[in-house]
Amino acid sequence: MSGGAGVVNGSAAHRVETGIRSLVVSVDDWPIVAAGMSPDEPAMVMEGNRVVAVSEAARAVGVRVGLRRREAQARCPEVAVVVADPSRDAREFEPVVAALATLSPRVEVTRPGRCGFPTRGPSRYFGGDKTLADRARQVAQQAVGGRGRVGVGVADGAFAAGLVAASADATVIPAGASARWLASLPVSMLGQPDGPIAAELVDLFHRLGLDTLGAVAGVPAGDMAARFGPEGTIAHRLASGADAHPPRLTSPAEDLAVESTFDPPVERVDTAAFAARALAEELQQRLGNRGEACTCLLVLAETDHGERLERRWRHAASAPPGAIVDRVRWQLDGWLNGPASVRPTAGITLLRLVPEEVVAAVGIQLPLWGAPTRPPDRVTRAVARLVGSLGPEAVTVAVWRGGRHPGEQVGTVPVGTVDLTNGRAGACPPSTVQDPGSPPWPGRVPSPSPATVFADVDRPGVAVVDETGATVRVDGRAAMTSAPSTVSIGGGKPQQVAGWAGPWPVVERWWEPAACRRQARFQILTDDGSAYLVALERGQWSLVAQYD
Amino acid sequence: MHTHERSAANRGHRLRYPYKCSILRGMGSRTRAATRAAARAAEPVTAESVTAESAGSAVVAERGAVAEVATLPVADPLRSLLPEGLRRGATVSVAGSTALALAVLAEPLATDHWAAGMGWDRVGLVAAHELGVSWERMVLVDAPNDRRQWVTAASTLVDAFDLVVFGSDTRIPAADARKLVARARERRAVLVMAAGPQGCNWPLGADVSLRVLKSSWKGLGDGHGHLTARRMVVEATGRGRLAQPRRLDLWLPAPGGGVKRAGLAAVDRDASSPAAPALQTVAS
Repeated sequence: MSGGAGVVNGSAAHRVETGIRSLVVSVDDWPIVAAGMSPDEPAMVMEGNRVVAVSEAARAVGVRVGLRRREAQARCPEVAVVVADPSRDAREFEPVVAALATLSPRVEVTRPGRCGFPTRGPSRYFGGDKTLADRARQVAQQAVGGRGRVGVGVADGAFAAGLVAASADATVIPAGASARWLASLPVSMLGQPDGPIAAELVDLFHRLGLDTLGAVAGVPAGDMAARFGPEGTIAHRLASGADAHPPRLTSPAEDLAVESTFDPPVERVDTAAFAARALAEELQQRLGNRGEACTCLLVLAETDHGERLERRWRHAASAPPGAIVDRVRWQLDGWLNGPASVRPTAGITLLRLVPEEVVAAVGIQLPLWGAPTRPPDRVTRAVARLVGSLGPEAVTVAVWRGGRHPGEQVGTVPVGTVDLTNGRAGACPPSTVQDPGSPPWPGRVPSPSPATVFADVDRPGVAVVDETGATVRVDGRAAMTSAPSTVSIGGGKPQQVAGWAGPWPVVERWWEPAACRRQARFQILTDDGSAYLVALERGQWSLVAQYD
Repeated sequence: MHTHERSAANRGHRLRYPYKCSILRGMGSRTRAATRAAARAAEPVTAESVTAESAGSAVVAERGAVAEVATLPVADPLRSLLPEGLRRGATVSVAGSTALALAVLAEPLATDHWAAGMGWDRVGLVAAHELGVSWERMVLVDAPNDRRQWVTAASTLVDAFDLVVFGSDTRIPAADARKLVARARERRAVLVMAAGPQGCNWPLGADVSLRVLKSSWKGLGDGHGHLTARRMVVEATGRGRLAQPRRLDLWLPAPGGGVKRAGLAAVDRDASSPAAPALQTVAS
């Protein structure tokens, strides 16, 4: 543990420690590689209708992580779609980890596609960081077999080493220089998937003007802790080139480890995973009783032939409760279903989970405002009763959708399809900050929006006539024949027009003749103070909405 | 057994007021039916039902002791119209403007109360959002055509939600409406009749009636511009403490969105009907 060497930060003039010098091996776009796709063919991995990984070829034509399926396919129609499967990712990665384990006994898997180990011993053995990095790259490339780009990075702290591995221009950052190297990187680098920093905090840093990791590191550590809590402390430590948590000099109590023996030996993954689940939950329970959370877990298995398999998994202390269960299952899948080189020759007789590093559990800090609240039971019950008596379509909640018309921007969905918990998806308007993919919908009717909106099928007819009594028309170039002078809504008494604006033409779905709509919309104010949104479509005037 | 005695006692107590008889007939039968159902199911009485019952009778008795929990808040600009907020169990009718009804809903929905809209499918939900109504706690229910189903569905909503909004298509007989009002009073729900431009079909009067006396839109020219803001004069009339009409000059929506109070001096006297001159003090 080389936690002693400190560097002085120029702007804030306080001492920051450096992280444990680590080597990280990272394979780009691992879910794509694991799915058997080559980086040269456009492919994407989907989870819940969102892209979670893209191949290099697909990225080149604009497919990005986070897009919806249809949008991604619109940008790249020939893209191959693969369903996300973390088990597959972990299983395919196991041979790479096994190969790297020949260099160091302490290989830790951060997530499928990324693993690392502390370099102090191996570096001296192999003759320096550079030689070790070259060696690791060679070993990993051999295991990956040219299916993906392998990045290797050596730096102070696994976080910095991971970023070095992902970058193309550096491999080894000299000891003590990591903070300087990190300083120029954008703050978005803090928001690693499965990392300890939530995307919301990264977004907040952006909005506070902390655009680089150097800016985050420049804020005094005490201020970060006071303002952002434990998560802020971790962000500050990572940005300063330290590890997320200070090194612990004592190992956790031995009695935290849990184990289970199998007789007869288990050869099938699902059987082993079933036992592992109970084991992981027991471990979680023990940790919870002590108010601790595990950040590095050793999964150890012994087989009938006396083989001893072990692997370390590192995850954020704030990982959800199922994180341990998932990782144990992935690991068992990797051993039992992996290629012959890593597969044990007999069934598993013993499974042991050892928390190697624990930190004090700070829990999940609920936000002061907008914390998720469940609907009261009486509401849930009433909704269930109404769904039962009126049918599932009759009880709805509103969700945001895209659109140009007041009635299209918000839709309703049956209440059975959504979770009524506060903060449910679709309850907030899509903002371009949260969802860069949300379209801008040019041609929207400007706000304020009308308070009464008529459905397409029951729009009342409207007569809009000019001074001579002729119906006002709009030609194909959106030019009006004359200015409206009186308007009668739904066959009612004609009213004088006190003000009007338009035509605001909108042409939708012009590429699809059956669904094509051409409309010219007008805002009309009558002399009695009523304001209307009317539309002329296929020669017919109709009332779209009323500003009442 | 405790609740049975209590509901019987309540019934006896209320029957002493003969002018409420028509309401009570409905309620009495409902309570008896509920008692029978409870006895059939032989279920233990939940704490919730007991508190609802006792709190409901407290509101009916109008002791005033539960006043601080018996109201839902309203937004600041509307406070001079509804100084004590929305009293639970009350009926509020809003005539002439859906936007005004939305403005009334905004504050309760922002403070963890749940609302249901029945037959209110024409409400402009984008406008609702612009006026600060969060729909996270709002459920919309299609109004059934069958009258009996309508009453059942409405009663279910009244039992569970803090606010129940009825759209302008509501057409029910006065007898059903009375039952519903009584039930809302017992369950401490606020009924809001959101009469849109077409007017309201609610057959009964309301405890609080909000009416738009005058509204004028800004921003629309002769062939140019677009609607930006509206100034409206709203009058609140009601029963009891609200018998003296109150008037308020509002920006709804204000320039840039939301609801704002316009200057008091700017109340346009021409807007008021001759029968109710503006800002007249009526001794009660």
